[in-house]
Parts: sequence; structure tokens; C-alpha cells
Amino acid sequence: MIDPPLWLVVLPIAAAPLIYLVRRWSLGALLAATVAFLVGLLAWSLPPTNPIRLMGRVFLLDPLTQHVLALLFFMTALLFLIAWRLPQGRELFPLGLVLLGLFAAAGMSRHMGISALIVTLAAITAAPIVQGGQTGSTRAAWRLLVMMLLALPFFLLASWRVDLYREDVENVVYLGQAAVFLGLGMAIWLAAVPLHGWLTAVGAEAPPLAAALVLTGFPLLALVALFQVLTEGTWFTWDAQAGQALLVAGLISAGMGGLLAAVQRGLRPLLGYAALFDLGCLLVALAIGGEDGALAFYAGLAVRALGLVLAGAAMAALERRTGGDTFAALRGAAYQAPLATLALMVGGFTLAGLPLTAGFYPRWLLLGDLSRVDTRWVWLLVAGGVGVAIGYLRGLNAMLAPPTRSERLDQVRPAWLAAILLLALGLLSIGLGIFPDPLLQAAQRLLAAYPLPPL
Amino acid sequence: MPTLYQLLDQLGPITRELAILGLFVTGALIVLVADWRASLLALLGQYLLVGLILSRLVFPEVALIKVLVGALVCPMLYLAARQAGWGANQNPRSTSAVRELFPAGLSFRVLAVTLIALLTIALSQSYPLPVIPPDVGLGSYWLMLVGLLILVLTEHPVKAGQGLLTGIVGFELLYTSIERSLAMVWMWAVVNLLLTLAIAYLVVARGIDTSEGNS
Repeated sequence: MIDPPLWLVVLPIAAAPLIYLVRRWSLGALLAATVAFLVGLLAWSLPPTNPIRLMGRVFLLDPLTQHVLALLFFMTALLFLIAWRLPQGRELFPLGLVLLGLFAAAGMSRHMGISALIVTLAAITAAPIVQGGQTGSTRAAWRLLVMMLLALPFFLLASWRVDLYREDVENVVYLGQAAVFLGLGMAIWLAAVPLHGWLTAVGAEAPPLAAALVLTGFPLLALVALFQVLTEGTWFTWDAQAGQALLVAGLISAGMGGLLAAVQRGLRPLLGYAALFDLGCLLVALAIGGEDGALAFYAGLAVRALGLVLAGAAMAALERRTGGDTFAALRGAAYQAPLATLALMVGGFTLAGLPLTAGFYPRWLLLGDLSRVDTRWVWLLVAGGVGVAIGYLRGLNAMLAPPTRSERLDQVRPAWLAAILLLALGLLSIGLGIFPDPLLQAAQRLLAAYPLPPL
Repeated sequence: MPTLYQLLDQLGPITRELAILGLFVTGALIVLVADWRASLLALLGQYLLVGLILSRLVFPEVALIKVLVGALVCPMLYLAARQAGWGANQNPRSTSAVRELFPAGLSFRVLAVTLIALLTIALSQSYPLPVIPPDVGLGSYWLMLVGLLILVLTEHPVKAGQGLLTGIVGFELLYTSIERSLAMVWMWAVVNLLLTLAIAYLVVARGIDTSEGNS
């Protein structure tokens, strides 16, 4: 008998071979989306469970992991539906499901070494998704692979030192080393500047929907793993130092992401830097904690997924029309695809945290908490958000420019389902921007079930 | 047919120190040699030497798994490179689209390998690796550092893939002595094989047109 939480791992992976066989037909996208949605429902509705022992290792579905997995499954179901008419590489459907199964396994694992090995397997699985059947440059997939494999030894060494301590408390002297190894591994997983290369490369080169999946999934999983160590790891006693490190890493990532987003010349690299900025804000929220910071963090997880899916899906629709993602190639795109252009702006502004989007209120709470620590950092985050917004406004400027005669835009059949989903997601973001209560109430419930670790 | 233990007895004259010296040679070859097939052979030799060293530290069966993994990894990379169009007369230095991180010539590579060798010696003396004998620690440091060097020198999956696998095998030299459970050994084998599959996929995706495999 398989324990209920393990179905979150087994179901998507077991469905992948079937999806692989039908991946070229519409049925593949629909089946993959259905599986992801149903497993998401399962993740959402599972009651609290006891720890599971598997090959001597403990697996546990805690409330945070449960909600993050449900978010990832629902988000991926949407991505699959959008990718039905906006092809993103044939591997997306079957390997996307395998990726979700591995995310579930890594999130539930309570052994750092096992989690790291599973995340490495996830990176290996993600490489063809990131490549998306494109030929030529392999930079994005390669960097993702290399960086995740570079992180693996640090986690394995950290877990070895912790295991030694658990066997004999006299090995307490090794815990300092374990904390350093853990910090180095986490810095890679969380793409903290200057180790952000994999994140921005995936944004710049992966097909937009695949990029949205990877840029959401891996950092969210890393945050869950970090949370588990900080809240459950009795061996970890460097909370203050961890808080400082997270704050510095978050501020630098957000500042750098915002600054570089403003000067990009294409939508894909812009998405990568916008994702880096948003991740930096999440790290800052985690570091400063407090009532509002905690709410900003939990709400920010959902907002990140929403912003990336919206921006990624809109980019995919625009690329289908124009055949490119550079601002030069996008001239006049706003007249050909006004809905996708609008959705792109809403998605980008959601990541930037501008008013009237879902990203605004959580960011506002974060800035309020941060102002009590240091007002200069508030300005840094505001400047970063403005940088991301400038990047998207530059894109809009290019898309609003009249197309020249030589730049004839392709006449392609409209993807109605993708258009409807873009509209729905855009309205959801604006709705949550005007009425943020549902988002905050969900964050509050999660906060009650799984409080933020004191840093 | 000789058993595994008889085979190891026959390899008795090859001392651990000699095998570690061999690791230095194979690692340096992967960095310096221009021919991608020669560097793949060096990688295969590396797996054999690591297996030999491990057979004297852990159960020989565990070491055999590592060798078998290497014996599968190298043909997979070879077939992928051939599939991508890499042939006998392939001379990457003459291709027009050189996609290096650094335009590095042979003299630079020799200098870099020398510096990495010196760094390896310094690190193994200042921060000796736990659990394993000092000479094995030296070999482990060398493989990890030379793997990193290759990753810094190129991003082409044909060559950089060998660098990544070299770095991983260097870490395995240490970690196999730390974590001896059979489950972990198999997990590593799965990671290695799937990683090679991913590298092979990227080799084919990158193709020959823009390649600079031996950069």
C-alpha cells in the first residue's frame, strides 16, 4: 500500500510514459494538464500525515510543502494547456510531469543529501525541457545542469556532517562546517548573485513556458528546503547569521536584477532578470520576518508563480506572432496581438510589484517592514522594481511602434484557449491587486500552519 | 574466466600511488588534447583508475559499479558526438565560430594545468580530505579542480561534459568512502548515467556548426 503523499511522486512519473507516446497530438497536452491538475487537487486536499520511512529515510508532507506543491501542479497544468497551441518543445509534457514528481519527492525528503540528489535528477530532467528542441546554443540547459551538480557535493557533505552529529553528539564540532556547506549549496540553488547565471540563462534562452516552469519550480523548492532546515533542523543554530546572509543576498539579487532588467533588449532575458529581482525580494522578506514580512513572503510565492506564468505565456504568444523576442523583432506586435501585449505588461508589472497588480500589496508589506530596519534598502528594492518596470515599458514602446513594410508580421491562427487563459490570469492579477484580501487570507492560513523561522 | 578478486590480484603491481599518478595524466590529457576521441579515451582510463583505487578502499563490487558506469558513459558520449557530426577529421580549432569563454591556446592550457596541479598539492596539504588516505585525497582534489578548469575553459557539451564527469568522479572518490550504502552507490550510478544522457542530448542539440569542442 502506497502512503497517500507518495502518490504525488508516483502519479505524475507513472503518467509520463503514456504522455510521451501521445506528446505530438493535442491529446498529449490535455492528458498532461489533466494529470497535473488532478495531482494538484490531491496535494491541496491531503490531510496532515505522519512521517513516512522509505529505505531508512524520512519523508514528510508538511503544510508548506503541500501548498507549494499544489501551487506548482496547478501552475504546470495551466502551462500545459497554454502550450497546447503554443508549442514549446515536445519534451515539455512528459518530462514536465517527471519534473513535478521529482519536485514532490525532494520537497518531502527530510534528508538533505537525498533531497539534493533528487533535485540534481530534476535538473537533469529539466535540461531537455529548457533546450526545448532548439538547436545551436545550449547555454541555458548547460548552466542549469552544471550549477545544480556543483551544489550537490556541498549538500552531501553537509548532510554527512549532520549525520555524524546525530550518531554522536561529540561531533558537534562539525556542525559549523555543515552550516557553511549548506550555505554554499543554498546560494547556488537560490541563484544568489554572483551565482545567478543559471537563472538568467534559463530566462534568456529557454522557451518562455518552460522558463516559467523552471524559474518558479527550482527556487520555490530551494526555499522550501531552506525553510525545513531553519525550522526543523535542531542542529542549525546560526539563525542570526543566516538572516544576515539572506538579507544581503536578497538585496544584491534584487538590486542587480532590477538594474539589469532595465537595460535588456529582448523579452526572454528580461524575464530572467525580472525573476532574479522577484527572488531577491522573497529572500529579503524571509530574512526580515515579522508579521508583515511573513505575509509578504507567503503571498509572494503565489504571486511569483502568477507573474511568471502570465509573462511567459504572453511571451510565447507574441513569439508565435513575430518569430522573435528581441525588441527589434517585436515592432508593431501590439497591433497584431493586443491581448498578449496587455498580458505581458500585467505579468511584468506583477513581478515588478507595481500598483493594481497582485505583486503590489505583498511588496508594500515588505517595504513597510524593511523601512523599520533600514530605509536605504527600501529605496534599493523600489529602484529594482522600477528597473523591471522600465524594462517592460521599453518592450511596450517597441511593440507600439508602427511596423515598417519589411517587417511583415506572420498571420497565424489565433490560439483561443491560450488567449482565454491569458485574459483570466491577467484579470486575476489585477483583481488581486485591487482586492488583495483572498491572497493575504491564504497567506495568513499558511503562516498559522507553518510559521516563519525566527532569523 | 577469472573472478573479480583474481582480476584485482593480477592488477596488484599497479600501486595506488601509480594509479593516482595516472589520474594526473588523464586529467591533464582531457584539458590539453585537441582530439575529442583521445580525450574520451582519457576519461575512460580515468574511470578505470578510479575503480582500481576504490577497489582497495571499499568493496571491490562497489568499485566495479563505478568502472561499469564509466564503460557506459564514454560510448554514450562517443555515439552522441558522432550523431552530431563529429568525425575523424574534425579539427575544432579550424572552425569559424569559436564559442569559447576564453580564447585559450595550448601554452595557456599548460600553464593552467600546472597551476591547478600546484593548487591541488597545496590544498591537499593544508586541508587534507577526511576519511580517505592522503594520496587518494590528492587524486580527489586534482580531479575536482581539473574538472572545474575544463568547465571554465569551455561550454561546449562535448568537452565540458567530460569536465563535469571528471569533477564528479573526483568527488565520488571521496564520497564513496564516506557513504558506503549500496543504495547510495546505485543512486550515484543513476545520476551519472542520466547526466550523460542529458549531456549527449545537448551535444546533439548543439551540433557541429557552431562547435568548438576542444576549446
